Amino acid sequence: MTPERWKEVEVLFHQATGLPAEARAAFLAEVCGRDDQLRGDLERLLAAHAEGSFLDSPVSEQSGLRTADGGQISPGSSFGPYIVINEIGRGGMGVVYLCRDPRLERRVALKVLPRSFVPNPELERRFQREAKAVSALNHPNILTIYEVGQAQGVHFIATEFVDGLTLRRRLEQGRMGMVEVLEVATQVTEALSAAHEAGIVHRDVKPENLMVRPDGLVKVLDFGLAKLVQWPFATQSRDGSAESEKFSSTQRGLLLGTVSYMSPEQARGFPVDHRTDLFSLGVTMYEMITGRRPFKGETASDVMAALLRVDPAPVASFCPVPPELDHLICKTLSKDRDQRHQSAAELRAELKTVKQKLESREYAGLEGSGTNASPNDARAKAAQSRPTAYAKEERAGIWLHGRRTAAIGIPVAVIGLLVLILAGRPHLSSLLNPSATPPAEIESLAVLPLTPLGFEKGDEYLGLGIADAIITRTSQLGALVVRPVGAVRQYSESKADPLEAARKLQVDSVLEGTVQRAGEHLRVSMNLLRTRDGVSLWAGSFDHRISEGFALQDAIARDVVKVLDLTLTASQQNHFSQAPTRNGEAYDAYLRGRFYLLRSDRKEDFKTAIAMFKRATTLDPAFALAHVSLAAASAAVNFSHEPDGQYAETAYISLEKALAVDPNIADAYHIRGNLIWTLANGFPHGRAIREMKRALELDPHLAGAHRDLGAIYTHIGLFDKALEELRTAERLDPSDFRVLPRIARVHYYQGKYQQALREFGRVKPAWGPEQAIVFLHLGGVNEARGLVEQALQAPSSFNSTDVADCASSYAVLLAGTGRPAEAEEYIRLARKKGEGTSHFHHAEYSIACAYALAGKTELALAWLRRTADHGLPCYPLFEKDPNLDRLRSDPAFIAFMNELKRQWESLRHEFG
Amino acid sequence: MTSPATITELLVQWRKGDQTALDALLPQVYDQLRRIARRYLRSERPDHTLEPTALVHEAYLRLVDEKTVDWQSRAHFYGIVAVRMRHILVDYARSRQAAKRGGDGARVSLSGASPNERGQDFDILALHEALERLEALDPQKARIVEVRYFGGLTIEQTAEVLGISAASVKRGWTLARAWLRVEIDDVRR
Repeated sequence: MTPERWKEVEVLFHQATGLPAEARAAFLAEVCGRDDQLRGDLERLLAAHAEGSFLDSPVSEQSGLRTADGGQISPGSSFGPYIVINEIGRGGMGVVYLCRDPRLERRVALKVLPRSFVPNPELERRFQREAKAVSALNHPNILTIYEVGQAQGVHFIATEFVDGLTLRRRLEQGRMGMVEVLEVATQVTEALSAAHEAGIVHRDVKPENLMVRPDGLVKVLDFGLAKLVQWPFATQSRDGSAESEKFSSTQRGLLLGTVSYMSPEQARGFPVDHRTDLFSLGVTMYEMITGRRPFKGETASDVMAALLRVDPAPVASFCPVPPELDHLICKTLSKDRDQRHQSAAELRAELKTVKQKLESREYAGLEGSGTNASPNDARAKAAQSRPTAYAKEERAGIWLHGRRTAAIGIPVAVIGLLVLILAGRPHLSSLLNPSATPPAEIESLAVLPLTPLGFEKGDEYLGLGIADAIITRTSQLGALVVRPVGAVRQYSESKADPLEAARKLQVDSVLEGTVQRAGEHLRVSMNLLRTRDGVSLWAGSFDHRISEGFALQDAIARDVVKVLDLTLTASQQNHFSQAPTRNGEAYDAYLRGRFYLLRSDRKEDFKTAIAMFKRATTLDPAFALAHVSLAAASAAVNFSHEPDGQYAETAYISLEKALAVDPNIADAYHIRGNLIWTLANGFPHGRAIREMKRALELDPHLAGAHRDLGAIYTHIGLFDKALEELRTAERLDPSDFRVLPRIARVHYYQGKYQQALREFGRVKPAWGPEQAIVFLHLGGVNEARGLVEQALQAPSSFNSTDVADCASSYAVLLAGTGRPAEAEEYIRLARKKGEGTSHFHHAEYSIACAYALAGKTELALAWLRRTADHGLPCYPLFEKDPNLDRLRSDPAFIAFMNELKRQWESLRHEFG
Repeated sequence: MTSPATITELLVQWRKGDQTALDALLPQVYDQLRRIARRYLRSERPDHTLEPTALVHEAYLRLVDEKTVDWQSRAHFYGIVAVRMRHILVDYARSRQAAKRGGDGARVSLSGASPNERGQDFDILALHEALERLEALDPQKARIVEVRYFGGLTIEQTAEVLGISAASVKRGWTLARAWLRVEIDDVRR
């Protein structure tokens, strides 16, 4: 493997591992293209990665290096009829080993019960009988037991080996989606139902005893095993106080883990029936949904006290859930088992109903939106009723009984209805809003930062933050050209006339407004103006709690969509309906971060932004947009301030996290495309192009991605494609000062020097180095000299790449006018400043030209090779540039160009 | 034998950036480690096991005055030990192999090291050889494995010792581990 290849493998490997397992094949197919070798390598690495714990415990923590001399359970040794492969788990009921059964050549999981464990023979016989009965059920959701026996003086249970995670591990990995929760719970009820019918009670349903396979199949482990162990509190102690003396802290931890899932009757030491399992499953479901346990306490006895006395807060008080599900979980957690579901089958039927409803609603864009956005009457009503509902809840504090109305369900339904209307029946939306002006002529929109009214210090972020959020929301629709936030942020501090701003931004409508804060409430007033005549197309006011900021942006974006009569495709409305986070605090941190990210290019601002986004992602790890913004801020520090720091790393990781949650965030691919396109990565043009294209598929209006894609095309000599992208970028965001010099550069590279000069003339402030070379080609030696000397005058304001560009241009000028010795001096300066910087290749090219003009063929060719190797393999430029004419008869140059041409043709074939 | 004070001092100096201190430090650490290892390996016990934990620990306690160094220094020490540890284990494995030649072909394996699906143990020599190939390809990743696996350092300690970010260590470790796994399996096949 070559170092370049290794680098490529490395980047792709990390990207792939950041994706959900099922998305990896498609990802590999996309990035590897026809490179089967690359794909094969990656597939093998990913498979090895998925196998997990290789080398996980360092050699110094292992019990010892040994040969297989038997007598102990260690890898390679035999235990009973089995060959031990390795340890795979440890728990209260002993140690679990992965083993091979040489008789049947199958893998088994071998649970070895603690040596101290000597069960009551009667219990053991019953357990054996039950184990056989459970296995005889042969149920897909029940772990099959192969054998229960004794070897080397200890008891063991051999079962099928399940290659998956326990639900406990799964919970540690992050929040579960509602559908996933219901899916797991339903499968557990299937297993319980079968076992209960056979007269077997599990007695210890908890996340540690549920395995989830990668394909989603759930297996329930350890049926009936719990009763083999006689917990002291169950037989002797009602108050549990003796417990702390009897148990080590580890044992206490285990006990606590088990007690948390017990039913009240079990905790009291009363006889249990199958309904104890339904209670334990209820506790497990509660934890899957909310991430917390319903009954808490520092010690097992505290937990038990809570279990016996306290009604837990409904799950709906932690996150939005369908009311039926809230009710269902309340029912499973009834202290009185007669109040619970009476059978696993009954519970399963209810779960299935909830799941079906949820799935059909999700399809209509309902799930995932806790907003109360709704225009006209509906909105007014919602605005009135909602704060009241919240106030009541706040007074109530903790619910004494879990009979809660669907406070969240109602607004959700309203929005769902609206989305359906908006999406499916555009004519209906006009009927609903008869006052709307025919909006057909509106194609572009600028959202200006909101003007704060009477702000407290520290609240400045709201004006730009809310505008940015509305921009994100509306531009996702794709039906409207929305100016990126970078174009409007200039209006944040100085209040400009909105129509004037609109004309400057070249849009035909502008959204402006004010924001006022009163305690925890925000009042936002917005006004949509038509640039042509200043007519107000729509105006509205919104009252929201700060913590519901995303509902606000949604409400506004929705109204704009409606007023402008935009039709959303199914996927757009689906994306549109998803709240980026449900955590108000996280959202607030995100808005603050956006403010700092956008307001300047200063390092301190970027770092503040990074801190805010880190806070947002800590509060809600599934907040994809915050991860993307964290990546953007880190990439900005990496690019502008600290290229050698770890910011690129942070950016990569954040993008992986974001895309794992939501693979459809255009910006994420855009940022990643730029991140990978560096010297250190060997300028992987093809990969970067694919990233940019993916971003543009998701959001065709992403001006920055068009600009950067244009730049990449320029570097590999696909000039027509480059101009197409750059012109689109200019159209989408005329204020982006980085576009024009890039357009001018393409003309220069094409050899169209007059045109290039015209384009350079539009660049303000003028940028000398490349323009000077163009002048030189046109015979304007004095103009060229003037430009470069002027640029070199104030090198302090430039970064080292800029100085290198200027110095190397000057070298071209000097070499072209017969002053090779002086040219050398500037080449030295260029090298001193630019070598090692990522974008040195433009200067390298100029150095090659300078040497060619000076007649130093060999050096010129060497620098040309470096230019190509360092990211600028621009065949058509090299082919046409008169500055290289003295090389053209050189056989080495011809060979080099032939090779380069082949590369160029294959890129043109792929992307041209 | 060098006094603990000297070695501690060298360690502290090295931590402060004095590279010559490392040059002075290494041979002494190695000598000491080899002596301790030899004693362990000469052990007459029939179940003859080499306890790396004890080995490194003993070396550390003998060589370094624990009261005067911080955890970073301790991490650096373990980082140094990792290299030596690897070679001691490899030597040991080779000698065991030689001793077993003609026997039932038992190879030296590391307990708990590999959940190997094919039911075989991976052996220390295979790991050593694969690691040598990784060194040629990407020395930093090989070093991460060495320090983590043979030195027993945590991600954070490894980051400290190698002077890179914890995130880089984590990523490097993930990739290197998968790569070694593939390598070892390939060779065996």
